[in-house]
Amino acid sequence: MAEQGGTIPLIAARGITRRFGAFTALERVDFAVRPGEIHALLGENGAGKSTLMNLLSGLLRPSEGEILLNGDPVRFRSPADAERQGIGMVHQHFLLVPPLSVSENLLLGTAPGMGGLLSYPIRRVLDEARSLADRLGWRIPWNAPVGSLPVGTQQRIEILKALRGVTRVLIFDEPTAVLTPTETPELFDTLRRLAGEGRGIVFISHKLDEVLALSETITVLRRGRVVARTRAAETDARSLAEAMVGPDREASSLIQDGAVSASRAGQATVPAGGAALFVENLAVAGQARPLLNGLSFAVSPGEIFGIAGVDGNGQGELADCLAGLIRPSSGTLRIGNDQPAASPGAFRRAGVAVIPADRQTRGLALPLSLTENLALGVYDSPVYRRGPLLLWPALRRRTEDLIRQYDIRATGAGALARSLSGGNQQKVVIARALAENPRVVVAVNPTRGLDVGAIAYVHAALRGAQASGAAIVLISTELEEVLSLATHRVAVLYEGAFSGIVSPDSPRDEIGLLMGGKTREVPGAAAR
Amino acid sequence: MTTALILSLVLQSLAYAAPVLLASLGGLFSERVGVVNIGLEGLLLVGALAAVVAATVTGSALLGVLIALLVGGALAALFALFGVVLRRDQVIVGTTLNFLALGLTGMLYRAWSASGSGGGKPLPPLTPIVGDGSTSLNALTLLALLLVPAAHWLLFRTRLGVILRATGEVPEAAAAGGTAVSRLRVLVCLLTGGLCGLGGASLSLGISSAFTEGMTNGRGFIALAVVVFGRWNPFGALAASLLFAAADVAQARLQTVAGVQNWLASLHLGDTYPFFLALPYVLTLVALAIRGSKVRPPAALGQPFEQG
Ligand SMILES: Nc1ncnc2c1ncn2[C@@H]1O[C@H](COP(=O)(O)OP(=O)(O)OP(=O)(O)O)[C@@H](O)[C@H]1O
Ligand SMILES: [Mg+2]
Repeated sequence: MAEQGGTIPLIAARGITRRFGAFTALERVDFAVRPGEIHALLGENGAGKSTLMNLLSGLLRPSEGEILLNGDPVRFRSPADAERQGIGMVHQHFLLVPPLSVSENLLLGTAPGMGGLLSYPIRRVLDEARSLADRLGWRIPWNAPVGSLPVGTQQRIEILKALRGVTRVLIFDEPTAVLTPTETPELFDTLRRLAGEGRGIVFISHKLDEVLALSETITVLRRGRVVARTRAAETDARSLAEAMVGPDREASSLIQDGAVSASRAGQATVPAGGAALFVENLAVAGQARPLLNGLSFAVSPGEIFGIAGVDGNGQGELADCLAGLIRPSSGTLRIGNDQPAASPGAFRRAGVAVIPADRQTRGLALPLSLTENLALGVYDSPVYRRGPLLLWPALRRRTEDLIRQYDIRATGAGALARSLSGGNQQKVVIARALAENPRVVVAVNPTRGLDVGAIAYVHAALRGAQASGAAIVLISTELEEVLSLATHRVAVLYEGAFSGIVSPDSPRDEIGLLMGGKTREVPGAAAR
Repeated sequence: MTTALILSLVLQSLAYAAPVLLASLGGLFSERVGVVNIGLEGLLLVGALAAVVAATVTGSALLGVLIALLVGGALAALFALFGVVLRRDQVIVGTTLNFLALGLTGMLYRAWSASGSGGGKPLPPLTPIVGDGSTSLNALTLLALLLVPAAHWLLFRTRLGVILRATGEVPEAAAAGGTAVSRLRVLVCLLTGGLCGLGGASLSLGISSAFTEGMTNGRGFIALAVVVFGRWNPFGALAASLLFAAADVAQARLQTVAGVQNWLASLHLGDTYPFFLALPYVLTLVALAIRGSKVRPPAALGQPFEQG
């Protein structure tokens, strides 16, 4: 059954519809991947990208339509079944078991043929994974519990898992969302090599330039339908963005953050007035070396203090200290004049709002409704409480307001957080953090996984909070984001210490050096 | 003389540990796959009765033990049906199971004794593997002890163990790796029932040589505490079971020591018998409290799972 394009697709969806209850997530979608092709899938948050890929990889089953494997109809019973037939997927939300070690996680995904249930082929599995990792130039702590590793490393483990066996098609759901600027090109090299070996690659990303640089074919989904399919060579960022958002919305404003540099007060001095957040000699001990080592900085009301750096250099620990989740081994932390006890509640009462890095484990209670999720943090306010009873109608109204205000795509205030697409889950987290006019905002990778429109929105929301006087600590591995949002200073975190604090207008290569650990003090820009 | 005393104390402690240890190994496997089974107590009790009845009727202790194993498994199937397949609240299902077992064993035992079906036949004893009399080790105790390293090997040195642990932490990840989560959980429930059946047999055949109503006396609940105290690790469960059993043996012996009796009587506390009985339970609670718990339970404990 040859189709246009000459070769038979490795895998194809034909007329696929998928409903969740009354909601139609995909409607009569056609999609195909051919050998050697890198096929990008674009679309706004909630367009149905992950759903389509979950269908192709056996995690979900279509309501209507069929899936063709090498031209023949197929029904995958499970992801393992799909994997046996050569379809691998690296999920947007990792399917890893945090307390198990890296090698045990690899053992879990082992296809049959690796020995019986009572065998323990960890040597063999490790050798195989190690040679794969060596080929990709990755260093992975094989015996560490997965939960203790930075997200970037966790993703590499997912990629290693997907790459084993006789994978013919590899699906990557937003793989670059967690990678650093240096890691992304490395991943692209890997993907090109894999495609060169005759595999079909599906690549989901919200970053249009990445998609244009990497892929051969591009499919755009909008609200569950295919609205465009084109060769990358024959299109540009603008037409893709227009296809994504549709004719009735202004796309050009979304493509680039044009207004950013103009609106930024580009000076390297600290705004006058007392600091809203004051950190001195903050340290967190680790097993081998300190995880944070003598950090000092102060952030004033109306400032966005940027913290750049490669993932895993202490970002998580710093954010946890600022959220009251862990007690620093030494050092001082003040919010205004308060010195809250190391508990999330105390920090929240002192006026700290947190946008955590991992929305699924830290940001949201997935089995609860949006109203319940958004009630966290305000449930003790007299507005929403009478005695020990919560005022649900008021909470629901607030949720509906926030859904409108933050353009959260959901079936309503009662929708479960679990049912939202990744990007919309992130909007819920951000809405909760910013809704109550916090004094200090700690945002960690706040736009991870968001589409262009949503990124523009979050950036505007953070700037809005800044303009109304919040002190914002922006910790992001997305260098462009830090540089465009930081108002006065950007600190670079390297191995738990600041390798430098510079103005956001500093040359990129200089900041790149700092990210690699070359320390340098910029006169007048340092915080101490 | 003293070595003989110590030896007999140790062997007796081991025998007393067996019911709790077997039940706690069952509970440990359940919890490792994300199932919380409060019904250990009921399963033990049913096993205890099944062992006595079957052993008396058949005249074979071995058959008694085997039937206790099967009956425990059968009752656990009921738990699995409601708690796993139908995804009802496992705490409620387990609690119901305990009441069911208590009522059922009492009723059946009375009916059985009244009908004289025992026919005056003697209860065949579990023949000791080592030693004899009060300084002996029976086969069930030995089995319980051997199951500890076996369980540890299974959990931490096999692919199945990785799958079991993953199922209790992130069932979605296990499912993505090809595990039929619900089926695995049901199987583990049956295993738990079987182990509790053996535990019950070790109590009624091995220790008491008789069945009495409610004879488990909360050992199933102690086994739940032992799982936590042992940090979901078989060797930890062994240590905790031994602690409980040693206290149990000690209280039984202390009761008979005249000096202790006199001292207690001089305190004018009235009937001192309950103090002795409470001792092992209090000790277990105190140990649990002191030990604290930095180790957290499996993340998906008690959560239903629905295949996508
Ligand atoms: N299990 C589910 N139950 C109900 N609705 C669901 C479920 N899974 C997805 N949806 C809905 O289907 C739509 C598509 O979701 P999907 O995750 O495919 O979006 P996406 O394109 O991957 O978005 P993002 O870029 O944010 O990851 C969303 O509106 C989402 O709320
Ligand atoms: Mg998605």
